[in-house]
Amino acid sequence: MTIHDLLAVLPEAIVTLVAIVVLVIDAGVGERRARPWLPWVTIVGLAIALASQSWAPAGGTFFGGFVVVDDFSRFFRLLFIVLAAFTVLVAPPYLRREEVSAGEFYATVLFSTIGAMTIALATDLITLFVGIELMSIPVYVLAGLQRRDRYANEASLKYFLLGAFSTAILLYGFAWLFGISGSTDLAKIAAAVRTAGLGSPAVVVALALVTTGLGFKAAVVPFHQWTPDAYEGAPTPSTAFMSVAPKAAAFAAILRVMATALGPIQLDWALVFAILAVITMTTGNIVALVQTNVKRMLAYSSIAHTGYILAAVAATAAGASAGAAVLFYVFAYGIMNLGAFACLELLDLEGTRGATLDELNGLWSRHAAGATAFTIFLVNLTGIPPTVGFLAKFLVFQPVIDAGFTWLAVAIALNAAAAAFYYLRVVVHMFMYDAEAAAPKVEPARVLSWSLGIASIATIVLGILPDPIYSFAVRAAGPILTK
Amino acid sequence: MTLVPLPAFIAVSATLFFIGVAGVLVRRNAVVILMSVELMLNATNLAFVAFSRRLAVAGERGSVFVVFVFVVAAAEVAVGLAIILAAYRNRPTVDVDQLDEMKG
Repeated sequence: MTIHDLLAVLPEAIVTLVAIVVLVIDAGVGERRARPWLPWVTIVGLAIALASQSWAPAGGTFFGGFVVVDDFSRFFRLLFIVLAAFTVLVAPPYLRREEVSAGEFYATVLFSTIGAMTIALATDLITLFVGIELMSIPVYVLAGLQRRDRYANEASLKYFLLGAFSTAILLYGFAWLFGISGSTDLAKIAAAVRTAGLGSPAVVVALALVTTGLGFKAAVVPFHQWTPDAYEGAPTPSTAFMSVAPKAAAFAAILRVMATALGPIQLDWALVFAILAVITMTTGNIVALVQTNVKRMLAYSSIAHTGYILAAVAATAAGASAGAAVLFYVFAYGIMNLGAFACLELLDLEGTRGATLDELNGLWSRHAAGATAFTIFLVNLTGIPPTVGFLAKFLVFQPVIDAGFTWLAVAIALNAAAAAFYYLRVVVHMFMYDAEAAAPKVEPARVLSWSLGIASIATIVLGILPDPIYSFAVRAAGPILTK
Repeated sequence: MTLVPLPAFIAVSATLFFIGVAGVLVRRNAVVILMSVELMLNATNLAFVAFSRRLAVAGERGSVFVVFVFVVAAAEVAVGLAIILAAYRNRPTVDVDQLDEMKG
């Protein structure tokens, strides 16, 4: 290990340092005095971490081949830092109201972010495993941070038990990959898998275990049962973070493992992924249709979005355009889904509960900016132009058709149309109905409103001018999918 | 004295893994489910060590992996027991079937 290696992971090191500083300030200065400015310490730290990439050495492998810095890892660094910063900006009013420890929340979000960034750096199963766990364990804590709330207890317990179970399955798959190749290096595993082929039972076992394990992490149907309960019961700011960062990280892991290590048998697993994609998006959308609680509805909608992203993963035979579609979708999904959950924080509801449709009645007349921002996020999730949500879905179609899955493209189109119903129903409730007498109080939080406003405008700007992010996504997909 | 062959280790490892999976699926006590997950992780460790020692092509990284699994599993158990304890304080049960406030 040289100074060169340490500089390569400088952003990760800085985020770790910020997390520790936040915890120390929280403990040293005292909860009450630290609370107002802890979010800003976190934001500044994250900004420094992002900027520090310019001091890092140019790409390459570090730590004896355990870590790789390429455009793929840089893309995910940007994404995870943006998501963590957005989470921290929108969380304070909720945390104050529900008396959740602010320092613990921000530090836990940061620890999880480091794990997610580590996953994107991995070229070795060991790094990948440590990254996945470093990301997951803090998220179990985030789900249960509201210790006295029964829903939060249930959410974190279910999330933890299924998360640990899926990690064990994934790890056993890793053991088989090691058994096939005698190496934990993804490129060497790929070489061994190419020689062995699908005729070897060990490859089939490893493929099944790894697909199941990663499927749990990304909430792919039929491994999704934990998702609605974990998302609904967790404190809303935690849900906002949980629904985007771990999912993006799961797709980073899926691309690294499936496209690199198991790339030689891509044609065999692609069909399985395509079928899982259809089942996932259809189940997510159908169950979302009948939900009356908006938080739970958004949980099922996030499952549907997993299906769309998985469709692009199945199309990796089409080359870098499929990889770019996955990355662009993950980025767009991150902002729009985090924003949609964060809009629920505008309402003062008891406990971790999300608003029902009726409680959103007349939000337009009570908080015009909040209702507008929520509408923009929902329009994004529906996929209506000129938003980034539309563009993300649009970019998935071409590689899916190029890879020969025309039926999958049809399924995506039908699902997107069906999903419009439940997203736009929320908009109707906010704009067309009068507020109920017992409607929940609206939070008069300025930073929260501004953040939501800026993020919702950003989704439209990116929908019209996607180039900075899209060309970055194309470059990022290069190292993974050039064959 | 002959060496125990590699398939024997893998058979034991697979058996342990499936006992763990069965435990997670069948038992309803959260602590027992956690124990079953640990059994699955130990099955993985056994497979890693066996492959690492007996495969001609294998390097030492398999044994290194096992050390990482130990450390991470310890962290996971610490968090898991804390979560189970927090749930138990609000409602004195560790039966996952009785944690059913959310439906739909």
